[in-house]
Amino acid sequence: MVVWDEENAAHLLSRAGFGSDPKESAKYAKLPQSFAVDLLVNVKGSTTRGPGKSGADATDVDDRAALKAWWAKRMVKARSRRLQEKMCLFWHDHFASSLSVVKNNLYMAMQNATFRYVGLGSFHTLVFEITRDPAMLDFLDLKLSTKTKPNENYGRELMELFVLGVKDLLGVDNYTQDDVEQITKALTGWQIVNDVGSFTDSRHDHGNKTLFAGKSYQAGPADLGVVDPAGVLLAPSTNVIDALFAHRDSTGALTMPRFLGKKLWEWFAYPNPSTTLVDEITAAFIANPSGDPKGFVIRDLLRSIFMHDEFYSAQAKSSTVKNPCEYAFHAIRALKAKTNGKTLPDHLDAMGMDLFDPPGVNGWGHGLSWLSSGLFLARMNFAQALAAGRDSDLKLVPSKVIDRTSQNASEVVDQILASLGVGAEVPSGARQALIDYFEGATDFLDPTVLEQKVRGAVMVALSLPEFQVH
Amino acid sequence: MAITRREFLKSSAAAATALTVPHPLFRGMAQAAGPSGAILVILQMEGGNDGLNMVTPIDGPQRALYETARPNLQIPPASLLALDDDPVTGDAIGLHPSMPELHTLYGAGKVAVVNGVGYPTQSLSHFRSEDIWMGGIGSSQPYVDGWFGRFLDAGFPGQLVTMDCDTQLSPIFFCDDCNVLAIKTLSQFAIPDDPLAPDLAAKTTALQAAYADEAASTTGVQLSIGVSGDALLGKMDDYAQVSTSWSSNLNGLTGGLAARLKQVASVIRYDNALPAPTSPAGARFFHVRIGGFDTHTNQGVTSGRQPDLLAQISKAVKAFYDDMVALGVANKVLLVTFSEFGRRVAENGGPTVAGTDHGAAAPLFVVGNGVVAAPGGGHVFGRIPALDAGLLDGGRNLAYHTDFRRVYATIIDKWLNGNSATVLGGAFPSVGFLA
Repeated sequence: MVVWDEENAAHLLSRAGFGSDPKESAKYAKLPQSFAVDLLVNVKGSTTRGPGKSGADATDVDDRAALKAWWAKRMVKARSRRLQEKMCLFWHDHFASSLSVVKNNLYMAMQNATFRYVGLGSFHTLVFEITRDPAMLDFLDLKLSTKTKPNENYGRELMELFVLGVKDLLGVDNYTQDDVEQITKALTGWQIVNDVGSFTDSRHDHGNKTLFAGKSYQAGPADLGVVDPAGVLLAPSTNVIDALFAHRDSTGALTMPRFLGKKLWEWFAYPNPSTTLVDEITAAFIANPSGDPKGFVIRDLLRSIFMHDEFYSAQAKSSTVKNPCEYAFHAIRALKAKTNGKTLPDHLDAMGMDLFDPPGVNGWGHGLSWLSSGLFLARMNFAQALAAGRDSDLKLVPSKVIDRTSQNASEVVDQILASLGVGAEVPSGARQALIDYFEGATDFLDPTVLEQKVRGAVMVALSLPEFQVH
Repeated sequence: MAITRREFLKSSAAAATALTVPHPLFRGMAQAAGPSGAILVILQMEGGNDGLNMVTPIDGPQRALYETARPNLQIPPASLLALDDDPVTGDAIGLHPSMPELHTLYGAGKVAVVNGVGYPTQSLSHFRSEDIWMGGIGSSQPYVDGWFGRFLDAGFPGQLVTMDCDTQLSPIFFCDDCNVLAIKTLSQFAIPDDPLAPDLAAKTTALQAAYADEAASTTGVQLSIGVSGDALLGKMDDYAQVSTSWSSNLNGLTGGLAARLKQVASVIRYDNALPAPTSPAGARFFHVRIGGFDTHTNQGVTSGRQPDLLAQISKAVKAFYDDMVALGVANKVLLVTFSEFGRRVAENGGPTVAGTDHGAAAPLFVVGNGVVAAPGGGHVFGRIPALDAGLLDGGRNLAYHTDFRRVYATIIDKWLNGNSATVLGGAFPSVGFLA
């Protein structure tokens, strides 16, 4: 067990949510670690659906902007539901669909609600819901795939990006082009009727299909599908989602838990975890301790990650670049700033994360890709907008960031860095550059110093490397 | 994209100091460029371009096979813009009718059409195939870094000679010790200020001092960010001088590709002005990207999704070429296209929604004054891969005959004066489109 202190609590809140201020970290540090983790993980599915109108309004650009701002605001404000929103963002990146292709605000809002409602529950349920999700049916063309005109787009990505991966952790191919064609047939029959994913029996290919032919986990030959003609799930032996979940890698281990476990570890901790570590964090996910009828409960996997000592290692604390949501929302929270959310989507877009519009089905590029020259400048722009925020779009009150009775710039700089949680990490030369920026100011009751220098120092501090990572 | 892929503005101490005190090697680069100061533009067609409808049989037995495979997606023979005959079958082949500008350039001998480009054991995954193309690797090798990144490591360590006109840095450029600016719009090159309490000079000073310290005293990701910040602030003033307001042939063209190529043309124009700028931008190698080629549905025949994209490319590439001529630098500029794969020979879907699934080999274009004719005459290199059922790759897709690394090797050896065997980890013979 790790020593449960404010530093570790702050780390948990940064990764399992969108950051905290020191007071909030202290509150979580006072709870036992397992209580703190359970508080985040045990969130009931929310039925909140967000803006997004049907019919002609579904393509309205104002509604599109409202939808983006609605989610941004929800993320930046979330307290007890912070992990739920963080997982919505993870699933949006994982099951990526984009508004610019789907062109329907309602469908994207419904998909976002699905992530919120089942995003911590059974992964089996989530894969089923996404398979019949209108935005996804449109985005990857499954709505057009029929027994006479099968379309491989969804079937391929379901295996490659959503459930298995092209290769297993040892670099061995998980499936063949024949498997892509077989699963494509099994997935025929879906279309969108009255804004709902709907199965039409006459469009489904009822022929025998065989998935993973010749392997110990071969499924079929049988009429593989997702649901029967009455809309009821087929028996486990013929359900393609079961067939995918039964896939085993070249070492004989279940493929899906390793694939998803690795991806979640990389999202929450650091890249390239060892297979041993992945197996440790997925043990409960596979064992299904709560006896969920569908099993593979995502909450169990997350709890294992947040309870693992490695999650609190030095590597997990400083080697991953925050994505734009993590960066911006952490800054707002840490500095006790306020926002109506309206300008956040444009800032996030400029920083490379246009909500509801990932660049492709593979989601966003992560890590240092978030800090290309242009995106780095966009972060500086956000830092400046927040530091200079004086209205309801973004409002930062300098006297809330520092203790105005401070007598010298070094105290004030240390207060700013501590709020951002980087006091111990910033090297002395960079700290000195911030102190020098105050040009000898000593009176922090002086409104000019507050309005110019404190705000300016916040902009510089938010642009430091240490605040880009967690 | 995992963090382990090596970074975009990858650090080097030399680069860090170069930007506060001009590095003599780096500053001298543009002036030192003669014919060896070659400029390269890599144009990526993302999503998997249907090459069979871009360079298409007009007549002969292959045309008949094509029409059988594509009842709804066939380009009418009369509309195709004739190229030189297929060098192997001898039958007529042509360019998609939405590419008349490129056809004009072809007629002037400025375009090489390289058919059947791909690699053995084709991956039908976008992402794996992009890794292979961008990494310049064999289909069983893991992606480690980019082929152009390795070229830069070998020839331009620590130097800022490359610009990716995109939001995120392309894996083409991941490297150990090279510097690449990734910026989609030149107007982003500015440090923001607080309009109500302006303090730009002091903030810039603080940022510069902080990044210099981070670059000198941290490790890992923080070091990379410190070096990037330092490099970026150092280039700010140079790029601020680059004007995009001039009478470019790209002005007025719609679409993102034209805007990106305008950015490239503007940087080239600035650095090649007379008299030479005292502080050039210094970028000679560029990557631009146009997405949308993943046409599983509604691909379009003579109009629609793919034709619109091809039209954008045709118009923008011709206008860019004309700009280079007008600027007097056309002899040292080469443009090459690529896409991660071609598409399935047989179409899917019905009459109104027909598209194509992922495929294998496809043609690409090389454009510039440096392009030479094939040994047998004409500017078509290699045949359109056979459409005969028994000759398809896996019974479905066009089989490659020209390894894509041969295209890279031709460019590295004959245009960039590099050593392709070092960059590609093996010898790949020239395709012959450069002398």
